[in-house]
Amino acid sequence: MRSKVHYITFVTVVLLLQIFLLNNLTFTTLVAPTLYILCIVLMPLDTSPVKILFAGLAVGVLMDITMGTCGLNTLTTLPIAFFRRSLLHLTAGFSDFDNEGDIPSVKRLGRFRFHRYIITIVTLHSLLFFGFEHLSLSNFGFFLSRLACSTIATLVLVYLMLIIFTPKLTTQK
Amino acid sequence: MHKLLYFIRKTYVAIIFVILEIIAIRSYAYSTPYTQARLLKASHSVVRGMHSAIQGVGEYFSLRRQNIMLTERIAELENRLDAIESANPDIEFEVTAMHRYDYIAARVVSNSINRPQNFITIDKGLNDGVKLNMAVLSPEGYAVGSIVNCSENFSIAKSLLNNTFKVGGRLSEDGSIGTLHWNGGDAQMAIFDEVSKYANINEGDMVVASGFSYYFPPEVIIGTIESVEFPENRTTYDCRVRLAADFSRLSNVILVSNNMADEAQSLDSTPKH
Repeated sequence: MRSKVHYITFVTVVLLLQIFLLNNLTFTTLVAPTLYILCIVLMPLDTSPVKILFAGLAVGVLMDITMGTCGLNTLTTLPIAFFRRSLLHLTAGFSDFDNEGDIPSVKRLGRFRFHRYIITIVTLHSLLFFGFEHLSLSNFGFFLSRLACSTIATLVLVYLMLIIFTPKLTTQK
Repeated sequence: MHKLLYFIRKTYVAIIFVILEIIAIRSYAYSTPYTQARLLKASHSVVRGMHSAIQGVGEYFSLRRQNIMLTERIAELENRLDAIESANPDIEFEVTAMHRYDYIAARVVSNSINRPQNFITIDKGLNDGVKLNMAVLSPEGYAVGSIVNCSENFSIAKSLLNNTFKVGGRLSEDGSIGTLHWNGGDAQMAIFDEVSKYANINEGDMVVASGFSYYFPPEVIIGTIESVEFPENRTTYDCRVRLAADFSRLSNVILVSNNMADEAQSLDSTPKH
Protein backbone atom coordinates (compact mmCIF):
# COMPACT_ATOMS: atom_id res chain seq x y z
CA MET A 1 0.00 0.00 0.00
CA ARG A 2 2.82 2.32 0.99
CA SER A 3 4.72 1.59 -2.20
CA LYS A 4 1.56 2.29 -4.23
CA VAL A 5 1.28 5.76 -2.67
CA HIS A 6 4.96 6.33 -3.42
CA TYR A 7 4.46 5.19 -6.99
CA ILE A 8 1.48 7.51 -7.54
CA THR A 9 3.50 10.40 -6.04
CA PHE A 10 6.40 9.52 -8.33
CA VAL A 11 4.16 9.46 -11.45
CA THR A 12 2.56 12.78 -10.46
CA VAL A 13 5.98 14.41 -9.98
CA VAL A 14 7.23 13.08 -13.33
CA LEU A 15 4.15 14.28 -15.21
CA LEU A 16 4.17 17.71 -13.52
CA LEU A 17 7.87 18.09 -14.30
CA GLN A 18 7.24 17.19 -17.92
CA ILE A 19 4.21 19.46 -18.34
CA PHE A 20 5.36 22.54 -16.46
CA LEU A 21 9.12 22.46 -16.89
CA LEU A 22 10.40 20.23 -19.69
CA ASN A 23 7.65 21.10 -22.20
CA ASN A 24 8.55 24.77 -21.78
CA LEU A 25 12.32 24.58 -22.30
CA THR A 26 13.20 27.28 -24.78
CA PHE A 27 16.95 27.68 -24.53
CA THR A 28 17.61 25.40 -27.51
CA THR A 29 15.56 23.45 -30.06
CA LEU A 30 17.98 20.53 -29.84
CA VAL A 31 16.88 19.38 -26.39
CA ALA A 32 13.33 18.11 -25.86
CA PRO A 33 13.43 15.52 -23.05
CA THR A 34 10.59 13.00 -22.87
CA LEU A 35 10.85 12.08 -19.21
CA TYR A 36 7.21 10.95 -19.03
CA ILE A 37 8.18 7.58 -20.55
CA LEU A 38 9.56 6.77 -17.09
CA CYS A 39 5.95 6.24 -15.90
CA ILE A 40 5.74 3.23 -18.25
CA VAL A 41 9.34 2.08 -17.79
CA LEU A 42 9.05 1.83 -14.01
CA MET A 43 5.58 0.29 -13.71
CA PRO A 44 5.61 -2.71 -11.34
CA LEU A 45 6.85 -5.88 -13.01
CA ASP A 46 3.64 -7.84 -12.35
CA THR A 47 1.35 -5.24 -13.99
CA SER A 48 -0.81 -6.94 -16.61
CA PRO A 49 -0.08 -6.07 -20.30
CA VAL A 50 -3.51 -4.51 -20.79
CA LYS A 51 -3.04 -2.21 -17.78
CA ILE A 52 0.37 -1.11 -19.10
CA LEU A 53 -1.20 -0.47 -22.52
CA PHE A 54 -3.95 1.72 -21.08
CA ALA A 55 -1.42 3.50 -18.84
CA GLY A 56 0.59 4.21 -22.03
CA LEU A 57 -2.56 5.50 -23.69
CA ALA A 58 -3.41 7.76 -20.73
CA VAL A 59 0.12 9.20 -20.51
CA GLY A 60 0.31 9.67 -24.29
CA VAL A 61 -3.06 11.41 -24.51
CA LEU A 62 -2.23 13.66 -21.53
CA MET A 63 1.08 14.66 -23.16
CA ASP A 64 -0.63 15.25 -26.50
CA ILE A 65 -3.18 17.53 -24.85
CA THR A 66 -0.54 19.49 -22.95
CA MET A 67 1.95 19.69 -25.84
CA GLY A 68 -0.70 20.16 -28.55
CA THR A 69 0.81 17.35 -30.64
CA CYS A 70 -2.40 15.61 -31.71
CA GLY A 71 -1.44 11.93 -31.39
CA LEU A 72 2.37 12.04 -31.65
CA ASN A 73 2.99 11.14 -28.00
CA THR A 74 0.25 8.51 -27.99
CA LEU A 75 1.50 6.77 -31.10
CA THR A 76 5.05 6.60 -29.73
CA THR A 77 4.16 5.66 -26.14
CA LEU A 78 1.78 2.84 -27.07
CA PRO A 79 4.44 0.63 -28.73
CA ILE A 80 6.72 1.09 -25.73
CA ALA A 81 3.88 0.06 -23.40
CA PHE A 82 2.89 -2.89 -25.59
CA PHE A 83 6.42 -4.22 -26.04
CA ARG A 84 7.60 -3.49 -22.47
CA ARG A 85 7.49 -7.14 -21.42
CA SER A 86 9.36 -8.25 -24.55
CA LEU A 87 11.95 -5.51 -24.04
CA LEU A 88 12.39 -6.53 -20.39
CA HIS A 89 12.92 -10.10 -21.53
CA LEU A 90 15.28 -9.15 -24.36
CA THR A 91 17.43 -6.58 -22.54
CA ALA A 92 17.28 -7.83 -18.96
CA GLY A 93 16.43 -11.51 -19.46
CA PHE A 94 13.50 -11.08 -17.08
CA SER A 95 10.44 -13.32 -17.46
CA ASP A 96 9.04 -13.97 -13.98
CA PHE A 97 6.23 -11.45 -14.43
CA ASP A 98 3.64 -13.25 -12.29
CA ASN A 99 5.63 -13.50 -9.06
CA GLU A 100 7.55 -10.23 -9.02
CA GLY A 101 5.59 -7.24 -7.71
CA ASP A 102 8.41 -4.74 -7.50
CA ILE A 103 9.38 -2.04 -10.02
CA PRO A 104 12.33 -2.69 -12.38
CA SER A 105 15.47 -1.72 -10.49
CA VAL A 106 19.18 -2.49 -10.17
CA LYS A 107 18.34 -4.73 -7.23
CA ARG A 108 15.76 -6.78 -9.14
CA LEU A 109 17.42 -7.00 -12.56
CA GLY A 110 21.13 -6.49 -11.86
CA ARG A 111 23.16 -3.35 -12.59
CA PHE A 112 24.20 -4.06 -16.19
CA ARG A 113 20.81 -5.50 -17.25
CA PHE A 114 18.86 -2.64 -15.65
CA HIS A 115 20.98 0.02 -17.39
CA ARG A 116 20.64 -1.85 -20.69
CA TYR A 117 16.84 -1.94 -20.22
CA ILE A 118 16.60 1.79 -19.38
CA ILE A 119 18.92 2.94 -22.19
CA THR A 120 17.22 0.70 -24.80
CA ILE A 121 13.69 1.77 -23.93
CA VAL A 122 14.51 5.52 -23.71
CA THR A 123 16.48 5.43 -26.98
CA LEU A 124 13.73 3.49 -28.72
CA HIS A 125 11.07 5.94 -27.55
CA SER A 126 13.17 8.95 -28.60
CA LEU A 127 13.81 7.36 -31.99
CA LEU A 128 10.08 6.83 -32.53
CA PHE A 129 9.15 10.26 -31.18
CA PHE A 130 11.65 12.31 -33.20
CA GLY A 131 11.31 10.05 -36.25
CA PHE A 132 7.56 10.64 -36.41
CA GLU A 133 8.05 14.31 -35.59
CA HIS A 134 10.59 14.83 -38.40
CA LEU A 135 9.02 12.48 -41.01
CA SER A 136 11.65 13.32 -43.57
CA LEU A 137 15.27 12.60 -44.48
CA SER A 138 15.91 16.24 -45.32
CA ASN A 139 17.88 18.13 -42.66
CA PHE A 140 19.08 14.78 -41.39
CA GLY A 141 21.93 16.33 -39.40
CA PHE A 142 19.51 18.39 -37.32
CA PHE A 143 17.33 15.31 -36.78
CA LEU A 144 20.31 13.27 -35.54
CA SER A 145 21.51 16.11 -33.26
CA ARG A 146 18.03 16.59 -31.79
CA LEU A 147 17.65 12.85 -31.32
CA ALA A 148 21.06 12.48 -29.63
CA CYS A 149 20.77 15.58 -27.40
CA SER A 150 17.21 14.78 -26.32
CA THR A 151 17.99 11.11 -25.62
CA ILE A 152 20.99 12.06 -23.50
CA ALA A 153 18.99 14.74 -21.66
CA THR A 154 16.15 12.25 -21.02
CA LEU A 155 18.61 9.63 -19.75
CA VAL A 156 20.26 12.15 -17.40
CA LEU A 157 16.84 13.13 -16.00
CA VAL A 158 15.76 9.49 -15.76
CA TYR A 159 18.83 8.60 -13.68
CA LEU A 160 18.31 11.69 -11.53
CA MET A 161 14.75 10.58 -10.81
CA LEU A 162 15.92 7.03 -10.16
CA ILE A 163 18.46 8.23 -7.60
CA ILE A 164 15.77 10.25 -5.81
CA PHE A 165 12.86 7.83 -5.98
CA THR A 166 14.23 4.26 -6.23
CA PRO A 167 14.84 3.84 -2.46
CA LYS A 168 11.20 4.78 -1.79
CA LEU A 169 9.70 2.77 -4.65
CA THR A 170 11.48 -0.53 -4.10
CA THR A 171 10.28 -2.84 -1.33
CA GLN A 172 12.88 -3.86 1.20
CA LYS A 173 13.42 -7.63 1.18
CA MET B 1 -17.10 -19.97 -32.22
CA HIS B 2 -15.15 -21.32 -29.23
CA LYS B 3 -11.95 -21.14 -31.24
CA LEU B 4 -12.71 -17.54 -32.17
CA LEU B 5 -13.35 -16.61 -28.53
CA TYR B 6 -10.16 -18.40 -27.51
CA PHE B 7 -8.23 -16.54 -30.21
CA ILE B 8 -9.66 -13.18 -29.09
CA ARG B 9 -8.89 -13.96 -25.43
CA LYS B 10 -5.32 -14.83 -26.37
CA THR B 11 -4.71 -11.80 -28.58
CA TYR B 12 -7.01 -9.08 -27.26
CA VAL B 13 -4.13 -6.92 -25.96
CA ALA B 14 -2.50 -6.94 -29.39
CA ILE B 15 -5.85 -6.17 -31.05
CA ILE B 16 -6.43 -3.22 -28.67
CA PHE B 17 -2.86 -2.04 -29.30
CA VAL B 18 -3.29 -2.12 -33.10
CA ILE B 19 -6.64 -0.29 -32.92
CA LEU B 20 -5.30 2.42 -30.58
CA GLU B 21 -2.13 2.81 -32.66
CA ILE B 22 -4.12 3.20 -35.88
CA ILE B 23 -6.33 5.84 -34.23
CA ALA B 24 -3.24 7.70 -32.93
CA ILE B 25 -1.45 7.59 -36.31
CA ARG B 26 -4.61 8.73 -38.10
CA SER B 27 -5.11 11.56 -35.63
CA TYR B 28 -1.47 12.64 -36.00
CA ALA B 29 -1.53 12.26 -39.79
CA TYR B 30 -4.53 14.54 -40.19
CA SER B 31 -3.31 17.11 -37.62
CA THR B 32 -1.34 19.21 -40.13
CA PRO B 33 -1.00 19.26 -43.93
CA TYR B 34 2.73 18.43 -43.54
CA THR B 35 2.15 15.22 -41.54
CA GLN B 36 -0.71 14.27 -43.85
CA ALA B 37 1.47 14.62 -46.94
CA ARG B 38 4.48 12.82 -45.41
CA LEU B 39 2.55 9.93 -43.87
CA LEU B 40 0.36 9.40 -46.93
CA LYS B 41 3.46 9.39 -49.13
CA ALA B 42 5.10 6.85 -46.80
CA SER B 43 2.00 4.65 -46.73
CA HIS B 44 1.71 4.79 -50.53
CA SER B 45 5.32 3.73 -50.97
CA VAL B 46 4.81 0.86 -48.48
CA VAL B 47 1.68 -0.30 -50.31
CA ARG B 48 3.43 0.01 -53.68
CA GLY B 49 6.42 -1.95 -52.34
CA MET B 50 4.13 -4.70 -51.05
CA HIS B 51 2.28 -4.86 -54.35
CA SER B 52 5.59 -5.12 -56.22
CA ALA B 53 6.85 -7.86 -53.89
CA ILE B 54 3.64 -9.90 -54.22
CA GLN B 55 3.67 -9.29 -57.96
CA GLY B 56 7.30 -10.46 -58.15
CA VAL B 57 6.48 -13.75 -56.45
CA GLY B 58 3.41 -14.28 -58.63
CA GLU B 59 5.40 -13.50 -61.77
CA TYR B 60 8.10 -15.99 -60.87
CA PHE B 61 5.57 -18.81 -60.71
CA SER B 62 3.89 -17.76 -63.97
CA LEU B 63 7.13 -17.58 -65.98
CA ARG B 64 6.55 -20.98 -67.58
CA ARG B 65 3.04 -20.03 -68.72
CA GLN B 66 4.30 -16.68 -70.05
CA ASN B 67 7.12 -18.36 -71.96
CA ILE B 68 4.70 -20.72 -73.68
CA MET B 69 2.38 -17.82 -74.47
CA LEU B 70 5.18 -15.67 -75.90
CA THR B 71 6.47 -18.53 -78.03
CA GLU B 72 2.97 -19.10 -79.44
CA ARG B 73 2.62 -15.35 -80.09
CA ILE B 74 5.98 -15.23 -81.92
CA ALA B 75 4.97 -18.25 -84.01
CA GLU B 76 1.66 -16.60 -84.91
CA LEU B 77 3.35 -13.32 -85.91
CA GLU B 78 5.97 -15.22 -87.94
CA ASN B 79 3.18 -17.00 -89.78
CA ARG B 80 1.38 -13.73 -90.50
CA LEU B 81 4.60 -12.07 -91.71
CA ASP B 82 5.36 -15.05 -93.89
CA ALA B 83 1.85 -14.91 -95.37
CA ILE B 84 2.23 -11.18 -96.14
CA GLU B 85 5.72 -11.66 -97.64
CA SER B 86 4.51 -14.59 -99.77
CA ALA B 87 1.61 -12.54 -101.08
CA ASN B 88 3.86 -9.53 -101.86
CA PRO B 89 7.28 -11.01 -102.83
CA ASP B 90 8.52 -7.79 -104.46
CA ILE B 91 7.93 -5.49 -101.50
CA GLU B 92 10.78 -5.00 -99.03
CA PHE B 93 9.49 -4.54 -95.49
CA GLU B 94 11.30 -2.25 -93.11
CA VAL B 95 10.45 -0.37 -89.95
CA THR B 96 10.08 3.26 -91.00
CA ALA B 97 10.43 6.29 -88.77
CA MET B 98 6.78 7.20 -89.34
CA HIS B 99 4.52 4.31 -88.54
CA ARG B 100 1.02 4.38 -87.16
CA TYR B 101 1.32 2.48 -83.88
CA ASP B 102 4.02 2.35 -81.22
CA TYR B 103 4.13 -0.49 -78.72
CA ILE B 104 5.50 -0.40 -75.16
CA ALA B 105 5.72 -3.47 -72.93
CA ALA B 106 4.83 -2.88 -69.27
CA ARG B 107 4.32 -4.81 -66.05
CA VAL B 108 1.10 -4.78 -64.03
CA VAL B 109 1.70 -3.50 -60.50
CA SER B 110 -1.85 -3.89 -59.24
CA ASN B 111 -5.11 -4.99 -60.79
CA SER B 112 -8.62 -5.38 -59.44
CA ILE B 113 -11.50 -7.35 -60.93
CA ASN B 114 -14.02 -7.43 -58.09
CA ARG B 115 -15.31 -3.83 -58.08
CA PRO B 116 -17.81 -2.08 -60.32
CA GLN B 117 -15.01 0.19 -61.53
CA ASN B 118 -11.73 -1.66 -61.90
CA PHE B 119 -8.38 -0.11 -62.71
CA ILE B 120 -4.95 -1.47 -63.56
CA THR B 121 -1.74 0.16 -62.30
CA ILE B 122 1.30 -0.37 -64.51
CA ASP B 123 4.98 0.33 -63.97
CA LYS B 124 5.54 2.68 -66.94
CA GLY B 125 4.77 6.39 -66.93
CA LEU B 126 5.40 9.67 -68.72
CA ASN B 127 9.16 9.11 -68.56
CA ASP B 128 8.73 5.92 -70.63
CA GLY B 129 6.58 7.58 -73.29
CA VAL B 130 3.18 6.56 -71.93
CA LYS B 131 0.40 8.98 -72.87
CA LEU B 132 -3.23 9.38 -71.96
CA ASN B 133 -5.73 7.26 -73.91
CA MET B 134 -3.17 4.70 -75.07
CA ALA B 135 -4.74 1.29 -75.62
CA VAL B 136 -3.78 -1.49 -73.22
CA LEU B 137 -3.55 -5.03 -74.60
CA SER B 138 -2.77 -8.35 -72.95
CA PRO B 139 0.48 -10.09 -74.03
CA GLU B 140 -1.62 -12.22 -76.42
CA GLY B 141 -2.86 -9.00 -78.08
CA TYR B 142 -6.39 -9.00 -76.59
CA ALA B 143 -8.12 -5.74 -75.54
CA VAL B 144 -7.71 -4.89 -71.85
CA GLY B 145 -8.40 -1.16 -71.37
CA SER B 146 -7.00 2.30 -71.92
CA ILE B 147 -4.71 4.68 -70.02
CA VAL B 148 -6.56 7.32 -68.00
CA ASN B 149 -3.85 8.74 -65.76
CA CYS B 150 -0.04 8.93 -65.82
CA SER B 151 2.60 9.96 -63.32
CA GLU B 152 6.31 10.10 -64.14
CA ASN B 153 6.91 6.39 -63.49
CA PHE B 154 3.46 4.81 -63.22
CA SER B 155 0.17 4.84 -65.10
CA ILE B 156 -3.39 3.84 -64.40
CA ALA B 157 -5.52 2.15 -67.01
CA LYS B 158 -9.29 1.88 -66.97
CA SER B 159 -10.01 -1.80 -67.40
CA LEU B 160 -12.65 -3.24 -69.73
CA LEU B 161 -14.05 -4.49 -66.40
CA ASN B 162 -15.20 -0.98 -65.54
CA ASN B 163 -18.86 -0.11 -65.90
CA THR B 164 -17.99 3.37 -67.24
CA PHE B 165 -15.84 2.00 -70.09
CA LYS B 166 -17.30 1.60 -73.57
CA VAL B 167 -15.54 0.49 -76.73
CA GLY B 168 -16.72 0.13 -80.30
CA GLY B 169 -16.71 -3.48 -81.45
CA ARG B 170 -17.23 -5.26 -84.76
CA LEU B 171 -18.23 -8.82 -85.59
CA SER B 172 -15.22 -10.22 -87.46
CA GLU B 173 -17.40 -12.55 -89.62
CA ASP B 174 -20.27 -10.24 -90.45
CA GLY B 175 -18.70 -6.80 -90.08
CA SER B 176 -21.66 -5.43 -88.10
CA ILE B 177 -20.73 -2.94 -85.43
CA GLY B 178 -21.94 -2.50 -81.86
CA THR B 179 -20.90 -1.20 -78.47
CA LEU B 180 -19.15 -3.33 -75.88
CA HIS B 181 -19.39 -2.58 -72.16
CA TRP B 182 -19.26 -4.41 -68.84
CA ASN B 183 -22.21 -4.43 -66.46
CA GLY B 184 -20.30 -5.22 -63.26
CA GLY B 185 -21.10 -8.93 -62.97
CA ASP B 186 -18.95 -11.81 -64.17
CA ALA B 187 -15.31 -10.82 -64.79
CA GLN B 188 -15.26 -13.00 -67.93
CA MET B 189 -18.42 -11.70 -69.57
CA ALA B 190 -19.33 -8.35 -71.16
CA ILE B 191 -22.33 -6.97 -73.05
CA PHE B 192 -22.20 -6.30 -76.79
CA ASP B 193 -25.32 -4.41 -77.83
CA GLU B 194 -26.67 -2.01 -80.45
CA VAL B 195 -25.93 -4.62 -83.13
CA SER B 196 -28.23 -4.16 -86.12
CA LYS B 197 -31.16 -6.62 -86.43
CA TYR B 198 -29.96 -7.38 -89.98
CA ALA B 199 -26.64 -8.74 -88.72
CA ASN B 200 -25.92 -12.41 -89.22
CA ILE B 201 -24.78 -13.16 -85.74
CA ASN B 202 -23.99 -16.56 -84.26
CA GLU B 203 -22.63 -17.91 -81.00
CA GLY B 204 -18.84 -18.28 -81.21
CA ASP B 205 -18.39 -15.30 -83.56
CA MET B 206 -15.41 -13.17 -82.71
CA VAL B 207 -15.79 -9.52 -81.61
CA VAL B 208 -12.87 -7.29 -82.53
CA ALA B 209 -12.15 -3.56 -82.09
CA SER B 210 -14.03 -1.61 -84.74
CA GLY B 211 -11.11 0.71 -85.42
CA PHE B 212 -13.42 3.73 -85.18
CA SER B 213 -11.72 4.69 -81.93
CA TYR B 214 -8.46 6.59 -82.40
CA TYR B 215 -6.70 4.48 -79.83
CA PHE B 216 -7.54 0.78 -80.22
CA PRO B 217 -5.98 -0.58 -83.39
CA PRO B 218 -8.58 -2.29 -85.60
CA GLU B 219 -8.90 -6.08 -85.45
CA VAL B 220 -7.73 -6.28 -81.82
CA ILE B 221 -9.65 -9.24 -80.41
CA ILE B 222 -12.07 -8.40 -77.60
CA GLY B 223 -13.90 -11.69 -77.12
CA THR B 224 -16.32 -14.23 -78.58
CA ILE B 225 -20.13 -14.22 -78.64
CA GLU B 226 -21.47 -16.46 -75.88
CA SER B 227 -25.22 -15.89 -76.32
CA VAL B 228 -27.48 -13.79 -78.52
CA GLU B 229 -30.76 -12.21 -77.55
CA PHE B 230 -33.22 -10.18 -79.59
CA PRO B 231 -35.45 -8.31 -77.13
CA GLU B 232 -39.02 -7.56 -78.14
CA ASN B 233 -39.78 -3.98 -79.20
CA ARG B 234 -36.11 -3.44 -80.04
CA THR B 235 -34.32 -3.17 -83.35
CA THR B 236 -30.92 -4.29 -82.15
CA TYR B 237 -29.38 -7.47 -80.76
CA ASP B 238 -28.07 -7.80 -77.21
CA CYS B 239 -25.21 -10.28 -76.91
CA ARG B 240 -23.11 -11.64 -74.12
CA VAL B 241 -19.42 -11.77 -74.94
CA ARG B 242 -16.80 -13.95 -73.30
CA LEU B 243 -13.79 -11.65 -72.97
CA ALA B 244 -10.60 -12.95 -74.57
CA ALA B 245 -8.18 -11.46 -72.01
CA ASP B 246 -7.83 -13.27 -68.69
CA PHE B 247 -7.97 -10.32 -66.29
CA SER B 248 -7.39 -12.44 -63.20
CA ARG B 249 -3.94 -13.52 -64.41
CA LEU B 250 -2.79 -10.29 -66.01
CA SER B 251 0.86 -9.68 -65.14
CA ASN B 252 2.20 -8.02 -68.32
CA VAL B 253 0.55 -5.72 -70.82
CA ILE B 254 1.32 -4.03 -74.12
CA LEU B 255 0.56 -0.32 -74.49
CA VAL B 256 -0.31 0.92 -77.95
CA SER B 257 -0.07 4.54 -78.98
CA ASN B 258 -1.65 5.77 -82.19
CA ASN B 259 0.81 8.27 -83.69
CA MET B 260 -1.88 9.70 -85.94
CA ALA B 261 -4.59 10.10 -83.31
CA ASP B 262 -3.89 13.79 -82.74
CA GLU B 263 -3.95 14.55 -86.46
CA ALA B 264 -7.23 12.67 -86.96
CA GLN B 265 -8.76 14.30 -83.90
CA SER B 266 -7.81 17.82 -84.98
CA LEU B 267 -9.30 17.16 -88.41
CA ASP B 268 -12.44 15.83 -86.78
CA SER B 269 -12.82 18.98 -84.68
CA THR B 270 -12.68 21.32 -87.67
CA PRO B 271 -16.08 22.59 -88.98
CA LYS B 272 -17.58 20.35 -91.66
CA HIS B 273 -19.60 21.81 -94.54
